[in-house]
Amino acid sequence: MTTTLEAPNVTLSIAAPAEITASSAAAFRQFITGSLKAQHTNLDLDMRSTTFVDSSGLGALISLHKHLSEKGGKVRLLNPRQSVLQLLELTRMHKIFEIERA
Amino acid sequence: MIVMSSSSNKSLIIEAPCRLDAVRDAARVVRSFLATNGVDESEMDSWELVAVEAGNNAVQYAPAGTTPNGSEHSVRFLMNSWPDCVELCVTDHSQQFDWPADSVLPPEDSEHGRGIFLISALTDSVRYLRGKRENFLILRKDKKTRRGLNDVQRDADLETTLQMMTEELGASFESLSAIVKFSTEIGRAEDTAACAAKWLGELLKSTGTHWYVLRQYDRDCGTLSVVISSLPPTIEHQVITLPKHPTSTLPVELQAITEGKDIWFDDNTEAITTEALTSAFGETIAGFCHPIYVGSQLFGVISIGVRSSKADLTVSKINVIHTFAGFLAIQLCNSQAQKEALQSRVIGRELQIAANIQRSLLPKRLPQPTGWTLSAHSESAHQVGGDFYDAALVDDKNLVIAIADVMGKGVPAAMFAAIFRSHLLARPELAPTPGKMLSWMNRVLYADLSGVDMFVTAQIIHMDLETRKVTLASAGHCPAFIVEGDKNKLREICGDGSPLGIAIDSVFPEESFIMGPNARLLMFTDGLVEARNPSGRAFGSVAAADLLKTSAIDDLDAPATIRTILDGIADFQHGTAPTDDISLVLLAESSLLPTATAVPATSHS
Repeated sequence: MTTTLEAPNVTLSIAAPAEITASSAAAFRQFITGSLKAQHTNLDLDMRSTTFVDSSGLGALISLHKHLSEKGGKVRLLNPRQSVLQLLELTRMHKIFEIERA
Repeated sequence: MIVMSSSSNKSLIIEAPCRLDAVRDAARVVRSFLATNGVDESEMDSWELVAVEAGNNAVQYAPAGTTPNGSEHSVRFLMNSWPDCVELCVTDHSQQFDWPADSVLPPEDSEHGRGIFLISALTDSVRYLRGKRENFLILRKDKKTRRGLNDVQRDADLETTLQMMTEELGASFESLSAIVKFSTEIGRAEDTAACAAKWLGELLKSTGTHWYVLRQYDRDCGTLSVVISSLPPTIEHQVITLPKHPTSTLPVELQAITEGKDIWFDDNTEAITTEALTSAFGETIAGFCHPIYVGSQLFGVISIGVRSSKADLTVSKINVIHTFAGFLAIQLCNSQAQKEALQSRVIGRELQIAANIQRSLLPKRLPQPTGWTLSAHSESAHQVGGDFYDAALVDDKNLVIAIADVMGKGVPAAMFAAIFRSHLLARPELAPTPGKMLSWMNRVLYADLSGVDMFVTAQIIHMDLETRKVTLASAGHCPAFIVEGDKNKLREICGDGSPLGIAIDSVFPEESFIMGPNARLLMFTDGLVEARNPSGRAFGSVAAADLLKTSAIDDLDAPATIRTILDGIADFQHGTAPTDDISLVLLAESSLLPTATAVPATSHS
């Protein structure tokens, strides 16, 4: 079994937009996947400026999670605001994403 | 978008175009409306999200084309702020959509289907009324009960406390580190484990969890072993091994370290993947496994959870667990590094003692029987080797030479070499019969050798100096080389016996021959023929024999012959470090040598 057990370190860090909603989710997802290079296995999404996420926004995040999981990586959500954090918890997304707060 | 509000500002009507961006704008107006009605921040968050989800749903299921009167479809929001509740009615024109009986979360990896769940979760009552041309989604939320996001935040005080704990833990990292470091530095390394157990106990209380197990990853073995758990006696022995071949049912803890992320489990998780945990903590458990890294190195995995079918841990609690697990791993690494440093100092001292023992064992002077020179050399590949040689003149007539290789290194090997030597000298009456000598030594040493899984290869030669009769017996040792008379001919005498310590009743047949004129006899350990060059090729017995023959042709004395052989090996190795000890004993007839003198033994370690 070939398995890398070292901490993954090829990470793309991006600041998330102010809102990730039904009208912007597709563009957001395309922007991120377009920014991910072949070597990027992990995505750090800084959400400190994100004030509003709806269910379509969550769908976009899950889509990215699936995309990177296939590459053996993961998505980390950094510094989400309280309202976004509560949304993530309410929808159990915090069990999928690694969430770090400053 | 058309916005109208009542004069009392208790009612609001928004007529928004049937577009997602317009719905979003409408939700902002909803929020502002609630703000002017004194609704608190978190409740506004909930309603803003509810309005967006309801409006998006209306847009998504809107019929194509225009209304019967030719106008564009719209989404209407009607909001009332009553004294005890807030009500929102969203009008859509869908002809296909119907409100589901249950609003449950979709599978974790589904990208859709959370909107209706959110609407239901964030409001007190939901009614969906289908009309002929319009449908009405009527949502109500009691101002007093403050459900939804506010309700999710019901433990706001606890959340804040946990957040503060996380920050405090981070801030006090240095001081905590200093405390643990101090306790380990003063030689109480076990305090780290006790300290870890105490803190993990506190962690369970503060996060509302019931059990934990911390396992450390062993890179060499590919295993996870328990370091500490809330039920130490139950699972201390549990070792989880990384399978050599891919499998679809990895235990959750191995999933966490191979995927490098938290793995959650509950009563719906495939039982075989949680077997290690359920066997220890009970059938009904839920929680998660978190991989822990120290720097870029995987330390192990902490599994933590509750004794119920679902684990509802908040992000704050998860972060406290993450932070503490990382902190703990660093302390455990430090503690282990200190223990290893201490151990290596002890081992270093042990090796020094063993090296001293070994040096004292090698004879400082070899006997030099009349007409013969005897010389020897020994060097260890490591600090302490297991090679040994000795020679004794029992009387003027009887010469005994022994060479041995103890399979094992360090103090035990040196101790066995000491025992071997004492036995070699203890029964001089057995000297003429080396086979019997080896049988006796094997019986005496067998219990001790087999008890520690060690054995000794040995070769003993007796020479009757008057008759030139040589008798050889071997205990699994490499052959002796003899060059005599015609210097181009070499004889190998092997003997036929198993190493000492293998079987208590081993026999060691003797081989005898009369040494011809101009004889040289070389005894050695296998390090001589096993010496490697940079490409990994072994020196071999042919090359060793050639050097012996060349030395004989050149009439070199015993020390010079040994130097020739050693130089030949060094040239062959070409800088490759030896992997095994090398020992040589050479007996040469000195009557041939024009300047025959007694040659002292050379021994080096």
